[in-house]
Formats: sequence, structure tokens, C-alpha cells
Amino acid sequence: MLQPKPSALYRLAQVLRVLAILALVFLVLFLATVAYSAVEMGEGIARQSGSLQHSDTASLVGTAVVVNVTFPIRNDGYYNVRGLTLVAIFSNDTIQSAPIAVTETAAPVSIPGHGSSTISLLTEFDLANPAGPFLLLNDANINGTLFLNASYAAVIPVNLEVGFHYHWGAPFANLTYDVGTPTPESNGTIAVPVTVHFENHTPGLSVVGMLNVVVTQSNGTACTRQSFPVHTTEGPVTLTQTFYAPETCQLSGATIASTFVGSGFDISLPTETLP
Amino acid sequence: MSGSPSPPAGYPPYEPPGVSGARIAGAVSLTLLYFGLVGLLPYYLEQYAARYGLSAPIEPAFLVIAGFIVAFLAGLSVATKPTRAWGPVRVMSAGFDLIYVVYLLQNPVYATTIRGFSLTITYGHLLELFLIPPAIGLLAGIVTTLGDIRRPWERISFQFPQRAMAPVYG
Repeated sequence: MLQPKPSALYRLAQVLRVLAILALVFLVLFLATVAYSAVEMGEGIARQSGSLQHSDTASLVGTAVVVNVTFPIRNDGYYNVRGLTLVAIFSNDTIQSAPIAVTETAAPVSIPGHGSSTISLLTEFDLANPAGPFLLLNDANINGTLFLNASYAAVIPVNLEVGFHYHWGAPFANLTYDVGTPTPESNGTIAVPVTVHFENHTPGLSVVGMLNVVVTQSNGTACTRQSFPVHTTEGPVTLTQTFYAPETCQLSGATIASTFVGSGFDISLPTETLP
Repeated sequence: MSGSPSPPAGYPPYEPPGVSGARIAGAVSLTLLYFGLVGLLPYYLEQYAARYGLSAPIEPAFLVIAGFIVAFLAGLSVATKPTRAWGPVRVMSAGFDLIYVVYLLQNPVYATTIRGFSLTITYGHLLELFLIPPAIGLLAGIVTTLGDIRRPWERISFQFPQRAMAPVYG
């Protein structure tokens, strides 16, 4: 028997029913693969974090030490990670209440599925801020908070907040001035040997420039000044120069101050009073 | 479809099977399967996650109750297929699914803290995708109900043709 063609309403209902089932099956499969992929990615990152290869470089710019940390990140999942941005806030309440530095990725990073990408964080520790004198001379444990924002599998925004500790290495750690015994010279001046000692603890930072030292009497009159050429990478530095001061110069109670001037960097170091 | 008028000339005779024992068994099986997937699986996933300190975004009891209703309505839809109630039951089933997803969308944020890591996942966009199948299902239910009202013999004659009479489309 020849069956008549179904009505448009019947066919529409049938098409809609099939579409609803297909959409559900597709979404269930998508959800399952997203979950599996997220676990794979998480495990991959956990494995990677144990042996994270990162490179740090530092430079002196203006009144700041700029630290660039670069590290690779892998995505072992199937789905892309898009728009990944990192913001890090560095603070230490005992040094100053306001954040010492705030940094973020220059541009959002994308990591394809089963691919990898490189994240670069440029952190500027401005030594002209209130924490500057402390950070110039002292190493410190700085608390960091890292905020990660990304979009996973195109439809799932993820925000991660991680606390971490950052060890700050001071570029002029343990800066001291040793003033030797003044010796009268035949030309009517006094020869004063001054030794400057400091340690550069900032990883990857080359301290290159001139250390200009000024000895000022307690009445505010400058006694003598001298410049020390500095060229050092990490480690201790000891520089000795002989200063020639007028006979009238009262060294007892005088202050010794220095300014470091490098390529694009100019900062005053803390003063010290001579005994 | 008891009480339905006979099909007009040209339509094959049809045999509404009624709500048989086999159909009820099928409906119960589907209900149990759905309940396992929509009610119990999320419940146990939350319990599993709680062992690792992950907080539950949705009350476990709510998941089980809502999952049961979703599963029950899906089973009822199977049981009532040979009747005129099928369309309205599908509308109810898809409508409840929609309401359930819309309810979950009220707070689509999962936030937890593990070992000092504070993790927030926003799954609103993902849930919005899950509005699509019930929305299409709701439309299908409405169209089926309208079809059953306008041509009460048509769906049954195609879906439940008399035995030994395979439909031949012309």
C-alpha cells in the first residue's frame, strides 16, 4: 500500500527531535573531552613545574631594576588556551605597605592544544620608591601574588590566584665604606684611603658605571669627592681609592655619600656617617 | 491513540500499541540510565572532589532531586509515546530541563582553594550551550503537540504502522 507523504508539521517535529538528540550527544562528547583535556593539561603543568626551566635577566633602567623572567609552558590537552595573561603583585609589608612592584604579561598568550608557548614577565622594581633604599642594600623575601586569566576551550574562562615567594637580591648588598687613616701630604692636603665594598646579589644583573663618592663635613661643606669605576656581574666588589682632602677638613662626624651612575641609570645610595 | 479518529483514505491502518509492559520496562530503564548520568554521576563527582578539598558548587541533594525529575520526565516521555500525551510530556520534560539549566546559570562560578591556590572557573558559557538541546526539544514537543491536534492519526500511523506493513513513502 502506498503511504502518503508526511505533513510538513510531522517532518518538522521529526527534524527537531533528531537535532535535539544530536546537539545533546555533541555537547556530552564535548564536555567529556574538555574534562579529560583539562586533567591532561593540569597533570602536564604539574609535571613541568617540578623542572621549570626559566631564564632571568636583569637590567638597570632609570631608577629601576627591571627583571625579565621567561619560562615555557606546555598544554598537553586537546583544546586551546587563549588570552592567557599573568599579573603579579610583589609586596612586603615590613618594607612598605604599598606593593613594591606590579607586573603583567606584555600581551595575551595563546597556547595551542598539544603545543607550547613562552611567557615573559617584565617586572620593574623602582628603587626611587620608598622601599628603594632598603632594596638597594638588602636582600629580601618578597611575597608575590600571581593572577592568571585565560579562556580554555573557547567557552570556559579560568582565573587562578597563586601566592609565591620571591627572593630579592640587592644590587648593592651590604654596602660599606671603610675610611683608612688620614695621612698629611707634602702639598698641604690629607690623603684618605676609602674602600667601598658591596655585593651584587641580583641574578643576571651587570652593574656597570661610576660610583661617585662625596665626603661632606658635619657643617655641610663638601670635603672631597672621588669616582670609582664599577664593572661587575654577580658577586662581591671591593674598590679602593685615595681621596685628597684639604687640611681644614674635619673628617670626624663627616658623612660619606655616593651616587651610582650607569648607562641610563642614576640613583643615590644611602649615606654613612664617619666615626 | 485511543479515541483518535480513523485515518483518512490513503493512510494505512494503524495500530496504537498502547502503554505496554515492554514500553514501561523501556521507560524505567531509560529513567534509571538518565538518573545515573544526570543525578548520581554529578553527585558522586562532587563527593570525589570533596575528598581533595574541592568545595561543591551545587548542593548534592539538589543535584539528586533535580536529576531524578529530569530522568523521570524522560522516562515518562518514552512511556507515553503511543498516546496524545507524548507532545505535552515532551514539552514538560524539555521545559524542566531548560529551567534546571537556567537555575544553574544563576551562579555559574566554581571557586575553590587548594594548597594556597585559589581557582575560579566560570562555566556560564558552557552551560549556555546546554540550553540548546532542551530548547530544540521544547520546540519539537510543541510542534508534535500541534501535529497531534491537527492530524491525530498521522504520527501514530507513521511511528506505529500495522505489523507486517512497512511504510512505503510515495
